[in-house]
Amino acid sequence: MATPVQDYAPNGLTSLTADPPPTSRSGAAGSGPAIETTELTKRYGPIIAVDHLNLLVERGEIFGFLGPNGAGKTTTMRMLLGLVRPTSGTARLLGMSIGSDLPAILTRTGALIENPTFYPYLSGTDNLRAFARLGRIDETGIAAILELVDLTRAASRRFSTYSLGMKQRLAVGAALLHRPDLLILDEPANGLDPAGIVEMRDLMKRLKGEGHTVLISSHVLHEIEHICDRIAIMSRGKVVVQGKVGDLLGRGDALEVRVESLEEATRILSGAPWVQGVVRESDRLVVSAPLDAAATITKLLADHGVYISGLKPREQSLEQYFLDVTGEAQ
Amino acid sequence: MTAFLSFEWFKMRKRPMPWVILALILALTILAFWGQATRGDGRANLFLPRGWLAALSFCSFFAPFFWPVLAGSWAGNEYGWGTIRAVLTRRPNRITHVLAALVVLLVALVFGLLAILAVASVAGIVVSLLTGNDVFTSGIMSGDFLLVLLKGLLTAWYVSAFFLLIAYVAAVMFRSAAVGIGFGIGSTLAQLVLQHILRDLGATWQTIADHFPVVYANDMITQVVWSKLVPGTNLASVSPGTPSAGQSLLALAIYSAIALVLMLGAVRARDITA
Repeated sequence: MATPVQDYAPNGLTSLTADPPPTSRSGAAGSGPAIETTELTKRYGPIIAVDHLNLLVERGEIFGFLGPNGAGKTTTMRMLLGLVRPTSGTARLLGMSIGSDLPAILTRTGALIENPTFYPYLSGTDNLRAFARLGRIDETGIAAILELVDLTRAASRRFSTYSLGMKQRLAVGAALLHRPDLLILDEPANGLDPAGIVEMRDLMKRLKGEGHTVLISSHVLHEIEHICDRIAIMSRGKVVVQGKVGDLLGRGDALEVRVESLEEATRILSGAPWVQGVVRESDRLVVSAPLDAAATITKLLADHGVYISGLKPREQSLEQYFLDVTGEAQ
Repeated sequence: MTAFLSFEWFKMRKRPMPWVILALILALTILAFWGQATRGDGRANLFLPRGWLAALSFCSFFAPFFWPVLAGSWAGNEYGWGTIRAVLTRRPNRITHVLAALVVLLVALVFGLLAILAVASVAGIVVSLLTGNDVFTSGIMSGDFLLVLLKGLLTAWYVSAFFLLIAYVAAVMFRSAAVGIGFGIGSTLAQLVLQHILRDLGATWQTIADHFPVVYANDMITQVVWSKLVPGTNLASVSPGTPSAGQSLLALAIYSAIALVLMLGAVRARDITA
């Protein structure tokens, strides 16, 4: 039975989940995290591409999947989508096993793996029509999908004439064609111009707002930092860190203090029992203390005749954190 | 399966390449009629209804060179373009996918052969008119003739399907359009060359050469239709020692089955890394 997709409004802002697909949110598929891997491993001969991966993506979140080239992100995504068979370990998507329930999983999952791939001799519309046939989806919503990804004007042009950004947008549109619960997007911002990246960010946020789960890999760390609830960073086939973005970047447990006399301020603050550490970084101090200690710090220093010229919560960028974690800072 | 069939057929209708190949085959059919018309002894085979049988005979010459191009590029480009990923992340059944695409190609062959017969009808009429003959030779059409025509059509399809299958299998196994096309055409040429070499090396080698697929495929159509063509003409001649149509049917079925098993085994086992 075809699944209507006419709920996509021309401005693309209305619900993507107005009518769930026939197979969605029912039975055993209704429980469990969006993605859960247990000791998932892929070997190519002596090379371990993915090494006992334990990944947990909760429903309704945007999850950033990061790592340097060759870390194993794409291989992991391929395993989740059944393109590559795991050597060992298990994975469950939307509560279903990729080993036994893959067809059902894919009816509720949209994917973009590596480069956008379509038939070069078909137009944007015809490519979506072809994949709508493959997914037994009603073709009436295709125009709205093209509108959503801003390809209406190029809809009748052959895919081979598209720019990389247009190809990328068409791929995202195709991934949304059957209104999936889970989106797995590998480098969706690749080839997009700054405006396109912003549009992609807005689209991701909109999808999250409507209850979709998004697993996204990207090298545009600034975007990941802003749109993702949680991230995992892979390196050499292993997840080296996984958690909430704010927690991982240490937000909420350090303050940056600017003062005239750094030595004096260091001595004063080091003596306070609620300060866990003071580190000097060029023209400022990084004070390990709760954020609500800001006023106390100000008063303590002022009481000793040291006046603060600046004080703000410590914010490490994801980019710096990524480089630190993956050991590529140098 | 039906979703895959619908998907593949949609692509078949929209892709220019099959139409280009068909146009080339139809043009060559016309050229073959023209060439045959210039031969005094074979001209009578071109007048309808014999012209249909002549057109099917010409398929023996086209099949090893054109259908591999269609099949090789059809299967191989899925890997070259990376579209196999897009397909299998929507419907993961790989076996169904390769079989559905093959079925659509085999159905397209039927339409191609019917188009050849349609063009042959026009070409036959033109030759008849230009040479002052009746456009439809009387006294030939009978139930027996229609049966041979039907058998000839099925045989032409069968032989074409074999050459198409070989290229398709090669393209899928090696994930490459170039390999599919190259192997499809190249293996036929290689067999023809090897045949000549092996025949000079003694009886054992001769026996091996006699079981090359191309030996069974080459004259199979002629074996079926020659009895209704003008006796003694080039289109009605079958080389001595040529396998019977029944033998060819069986041999090509065995070769096709082996190729299919190899392909399905590879598709089932391997990872999609395109």
